[in-house]
Order: sequence, then structure tokens, then C-alpha cells
Amino acid sequence: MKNKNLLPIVFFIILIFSACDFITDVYKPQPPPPPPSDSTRRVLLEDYTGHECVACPSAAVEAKKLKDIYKEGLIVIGVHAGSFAKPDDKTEFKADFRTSAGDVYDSKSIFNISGPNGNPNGLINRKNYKGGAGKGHIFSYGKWANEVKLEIEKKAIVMINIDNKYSESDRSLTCTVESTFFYDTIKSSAYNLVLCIIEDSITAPQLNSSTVIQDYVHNHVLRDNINDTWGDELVTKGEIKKSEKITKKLTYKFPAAYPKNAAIINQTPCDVKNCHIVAYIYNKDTKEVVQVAEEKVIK
Amino acid sequence: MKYNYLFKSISLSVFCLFSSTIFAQLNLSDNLNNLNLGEVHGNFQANAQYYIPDSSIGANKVPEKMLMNGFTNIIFTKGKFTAGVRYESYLNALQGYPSGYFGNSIPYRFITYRADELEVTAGSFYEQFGNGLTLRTYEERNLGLDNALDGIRLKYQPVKGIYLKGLIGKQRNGYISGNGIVRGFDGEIQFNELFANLREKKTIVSLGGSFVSKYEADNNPFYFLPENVGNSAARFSVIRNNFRINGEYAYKINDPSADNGMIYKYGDGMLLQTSYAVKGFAIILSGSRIDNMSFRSERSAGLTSLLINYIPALAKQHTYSLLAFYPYASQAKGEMEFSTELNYKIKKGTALGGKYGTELLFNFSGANSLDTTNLDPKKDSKRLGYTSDYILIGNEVYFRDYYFEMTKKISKKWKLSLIYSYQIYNKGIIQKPGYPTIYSQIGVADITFNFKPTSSLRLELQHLATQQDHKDWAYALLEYRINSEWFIAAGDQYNYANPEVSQRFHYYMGNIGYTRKANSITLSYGKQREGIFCVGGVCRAVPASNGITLMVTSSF
Repeated sequence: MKNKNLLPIVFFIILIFSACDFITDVYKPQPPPPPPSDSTRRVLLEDYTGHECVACPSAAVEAKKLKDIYKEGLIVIGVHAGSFAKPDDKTEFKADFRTSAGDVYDSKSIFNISGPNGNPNGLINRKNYKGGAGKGHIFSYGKWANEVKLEIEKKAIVMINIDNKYSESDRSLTCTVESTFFYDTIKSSAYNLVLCIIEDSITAPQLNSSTVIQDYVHNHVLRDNINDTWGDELVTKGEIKKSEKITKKLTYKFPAAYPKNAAIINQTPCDVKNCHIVAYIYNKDTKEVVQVAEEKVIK
Repeated sequence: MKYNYLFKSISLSVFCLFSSTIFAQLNLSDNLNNLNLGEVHGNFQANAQYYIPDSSIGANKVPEKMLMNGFTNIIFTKGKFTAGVRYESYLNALQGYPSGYFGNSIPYRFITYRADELEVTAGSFYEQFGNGLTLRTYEERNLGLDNALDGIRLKYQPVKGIYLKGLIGKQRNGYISGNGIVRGFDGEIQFNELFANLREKKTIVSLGGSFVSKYEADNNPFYFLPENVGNSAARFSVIRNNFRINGEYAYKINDPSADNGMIYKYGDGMLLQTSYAVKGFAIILSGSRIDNMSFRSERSAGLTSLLINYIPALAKQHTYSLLAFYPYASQAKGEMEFSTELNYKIKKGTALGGKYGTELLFNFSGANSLDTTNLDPKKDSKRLGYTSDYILIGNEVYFRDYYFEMTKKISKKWKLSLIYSYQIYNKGIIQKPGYPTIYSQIGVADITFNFKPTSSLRLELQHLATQQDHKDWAYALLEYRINSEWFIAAGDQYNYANPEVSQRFHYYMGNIGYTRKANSITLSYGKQREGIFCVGGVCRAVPASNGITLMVTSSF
């Protein structure tokens, strides 16, 4: 055989011996993560989901698993949006968990998630967003664990504290959010603060693979944004100085059911004791969430 | 009325832009070829659509109003050397196209050098091993599927009759590469070429084998994931006179992924095809068993992204629109599929054959679930998920197609095709759980009248009857081929039996096309219904749209 024949044969042999990893122990031991401090960067995981999305319960299990590991270091919002989230009055999927804010986030001109990519998919701190170009900001649930780990290891630039005062008599809430930056910011208007309501323990049908789970428990469902889709500027003029406390006070009245103006058949009751306030600060230019906090409405 | 002006101006400007590009390319190509500096060939395609919102059919407003997908391939060849690039442009991508395609880029470029029995390719390439159960990278532009490998490929023929291929690369995913690395090897022995004493034998035998391994780092905090997953296959082919049989078996080791719910069960696939053909008669029998065979270079990928292998589609591929209304998509997670096709030509001069003979085609194809048993998650410490029986067929029907076609040339001027098909389509499995199984009967009549060899009038009449989904549909198309260059067509798809009267939409479409030498321009106007579009068992959802479409293709 000619010498020049040896090179490709060696190449092929190397390929044949490409390794195969046979796994016998499936589960990794879980070391407890360090408890979050004020200066820890907490992570916002937005799980774009829908009650007619067959793989979404698996994504919810993944989110729960991550939540169990990182506890208050990870804040999960279930955003019901896209075609899988539409209510269907002719089937058991009558509930409408969509919100106007969620529809905007999911839309083609913003994060463009469910339309071309389907559900479930997630945003991790809304990072890697390039103004509608590409899908580097969209993470399928298999990638969440790694991306959350990467984000939580980053340093926080701001701290958020939430104080809720709820009046049961008129179902009203006064929410005070205190933000403290660890660094001077160059341009104050670069950051917005969004306050939204999420609700746990809502029982409603959900597709799972090829079966319907009639008594599925939906958790951390986005119910409403208190200060609109994109929130308010943290400060309207001047620069934010290091250690300066910025206080925002907002009021909100809980409806008896969500969505507020939907037909009764599509509504689900709002149980305030299962509701939480999520506050997050994001960079207006990049849309990236730089800090997030969560607090129960009724402690 | 306000759209009329817009249609005209947009059509004209896009036409001018594309036309000038084509002619510029042709001149460049001719000049290089004439100078004997090598040969330049290529092709160009642009598909632009102007969208008109139509909330009644679910056609959303498109902020850009006009979207365009375009590309051009330029291939340079000189002697043993070939190099090529493909420039792609999505400004912005057409509605429903995967979001990974945007802007302008040159995502495909390669060089190939052939030196005697060795061929080396560096850059982007498409490849298939056997039937594709271990590896098939290909481009299907209508699906937005392009899983080209970017890396190195060697093809080598040490002696006549032995063919070896080896490759390593990363897969294309839109405008980026997937995280995984794909390594593959394929070998095939053609015994009748290898051994001199077999060269004249009537029986032609070949054996082949392939091995593909993917690497992806394990970053999961919960599971120990296999970073290297191997998928291997063996195949054979025997041909004797008019008889042919070929088969392939593939085995994939543990490959937890989003497709299979992160289970560690092995996957395997088996394919067997046989055919016999003589003049006027042919029969083809095919069967496959697929179990947990999704194989992608990223565990979390979905839809049509980063597919390394291909599950062959055995169901009959239809082109008539109502026959393809409920298309079957191969189920990589598990299926038993089969197809039987019989072609028979009734001889001319007989009572049924008439003056020109009559062609008959029967096809019976379908797919069922595997017979599986789920494992108790509490006891399933290895996360194997389920077990499946090899022989038994699962009870759930995924798809059936009982198809009959008769084609007859009645005279020199008239030609007729009649088709009847009864289909069972498990929409809950193929599209989305919760939907009922759809039972439909479809009839098609295709009548052609030839004025002369280059001029004809063709009428297509189709009807789909079903008690499920949107109930009955009717479709008619009239196509006039004026000469070898021009054609004009108009069609309408009408959901006349929709139980909700307000939903009885007409999806009309008009086309005018011009083809001259290697250039073709088609202008269409009309509505497209929301649906599923499939090629070779791989499907994508197509959104409803309404508007004007211009398609330009050219090769040089």
C-alpha cells in the first residue's frame, strides 16, 4: 500500500474510536448553594408556556428543580403566551392566563418566542437580546440549568427590597420598592423598574404529552403588570449615585378574577394569599434584567 | 384600491433589482469561462412577499409589510479543485420561517480537492450515510431546514469497490453553529467491483456500515449526561435482475434530550425495502420500526434544528394540495411504519387499455405506535422511561393512506388522471394532543388538453370530505401554459362546509410565470391557509397569509 494511503486510514480509525459514554449513575449529588445575600445577583427565569403545550409540564418541572436548588436566588415567572395559551371554549382549556404584557413580550417585534420557536422556551434575565435579531436570548428548558448557574455567579449592581402592605377590606395593595445601586450609573434613565403579580396554586387543565391533566397546578403564573408592560424609569433625571436609595411606591387593587375584562368562562379566581409581587430592574437599551426580587403579598 | 399602487411599485422595483443582479452574474460567469481561468456556475433565488393583514383567516400584520428570503450559490471549478460560497439574505425572513435566519451572511463556503482516490473537503458540506439513520445533513429551503456540517470531510477509495468516508464538523443552526461536534465514518463494499470474478454476475451485493458520534459538554447540574453519544448502523443491498432488497439497522446509545424527556433508554431503528419491476408492473414493499431515534447535536434543540440523522418517510408523498392536507410527519420518538405500492399498466389495444394503455397505481401506507410499557418513575433509577416490544405493533393508529390512481392518455390532445384516497390522520399525535383523529376521503381529477406540445390547458378538481376538523373542502385550479415561456393559473381552495358559516373562507391564488432558458419569474397573488407543510416526513407549521409573492430563480 502506498504511504500516502496511510493518512486517511489513520483519520478513519480515529473516528471509529470516538468515545461513547455509557451512563450508569444518572443523578449528580447536589451540593447546597450558598444562601443569597443582598449583593447576590438573583436570576429571573421567564418560562413561556401554555396550557395546550405538550412539553410545558416538563419545563415546569425543570423550573421547580432549579427553584429548589437556588431558592430565593431564582425567581420564576410563568408567562402564558402564544397559540398554545389561547383559551378554547369548546374544550376544557377555557382558562385565559394570558396578559397584555406577556403578549407584547412574546410578540414578533419584541422577544419573538412562541411564534417561530414554539413553547416551552425561556428567557434568563432577558440576556443576549439583540433587538429582534436571532434567537440567542431564547433558551429551551434543557439549557436553563447551565444559564441560571452562569447568571447567579455574576456580581449584582443593585439591590431591591420590597415591602407590601395589603388591605383585605378593599383588596388593595401598597407596594414600596427600595433600590440601592452599588455603583454610580452613567445615565439614570438607562434603568426601568417593573412590578408584576404572579400567582401560585391555580388548578386548571394542562396538556402533558398526549394526555390532559385536569387538576394540573399552575404556579408562578403572570397575572398582571402593576406599572404596565415596560415599567417606570427608576429616576427621571440626573445620575444614580452609589448607595443612593431610590424608593417607588405603587398601589394596586386585586380583581376577583383574571383576566380583568375577559368573559367569565375564561376567568380564573384570584386568591391573593397565593400572590407574590415580583420587582425587576432592567437596562432599557439591552433589555437585560440586572436584579430581581420577590415578596408575598400577604406574609 | 390603496394597495394597487403599492403592488405595482413594489413588484416593479423588486423585478428590476433581481433582473439586474442576474444579468450581472451571467456576464461575470461568461467572462471567467472564456478566459479559461476555470468555470463559474451557480444559481440564484429570491422569494419576496408583500403581506396584507387579514384577521379573518389569521394573517397577522407584518410591520415590514414586505419580507424576502434570497440566496445565491457561486461554484468555481478548475481541474481537481472546486470552491463555492452561498450568500443568503433574509430581509426579514418570510412569515413562519425559523427565527435563526435573519440579515445577510455567507454561511456556506467550501473548498474541495480531488487527488486520485482521495477527496478532501474543508468548510461546509452535506452528507448522507446509508438511508440516513445515523447521518443525513441536507438543505430543504421550504422547511427552513439546513443542518449542513462545517468542518472536514474525506472520501477515500483504497481499492476499487471499497468506499470510505470520514467527517468531523459542527452543524449549522440558522446563522450560528450548534454546540455539539459531529464525528462520522462510513464504509461500503461493492462486492461486484471488488472481486474480478463477480463483475459479470447478475447478483449485485453491497454491504455498508456507519458510525456517528456527537460530543456536547455536560453542563447539567442534576444529571450525568453522556458527552459522547454514538449511533452506529449496518446495511445491505442485493439486486438481481428486476428484484431488489435493501435494509439497515441502527443502534444509538443513551441520549437524554428534550425530545425524549431526558430518558437514558437506547434508541434503535430498522428499515427494510424490497421491490420488483418488469415492464408494465412494479411492486414496492417497505417497512420500518423506529424507537427513540431522535439524534441532534444539541440535546435541547427542537423542531427542525440540528438534526443529525433522518427518519425515512415511507408514506406516499403527495403533491395535490388536498391530498397533502393532512401530511404525515415521521415520529422519531417511536413508530411502526409501512408502505405497499403497486404499479400496473393495462396494455394498449385492450378493452380497458384503449389506444394508449392505462396506468394504475395502488398505494397502502400507514404508521402505528410501538407497543410500549412505561416504567414506574419511582423504581426507574436509571431513567430508562419505558420498554418496547420488538414484534408487536402498538394499538394506536398514527396514519393510514389507501390510495388509488388511474392515469390515461385518451387521445393525442387529452390526458386524464383520477385519484381516490382514504386517509386516517391522528392529529393528536402528529400535530398537537387533544385533537381528534381525522378520517378523510379525497378525490382528484386532473384533466389536460394539449393544444400543441408547448401549449396546454390543465384543470384540477379536488374534493376533501371529512366529519372532523374544518369539515369539507373543495379546490379547483385552471392552468394555461401559453407557450414554452409563459403560464398563467388561478385556483381557489374553499372550506364550504365549515360548521361556522363565518369561517367558510376562500383561499384563492393567481399565478403568472415566465421561464426563459435558466431564468424563471413567478408572480402570485392570493391567500394561504394556516397549516402544516412537510417534505420527506419532516414538517413545519405555516402561518396564514394574504398577499403578493414574487419568486425569481436563475442558474448560470
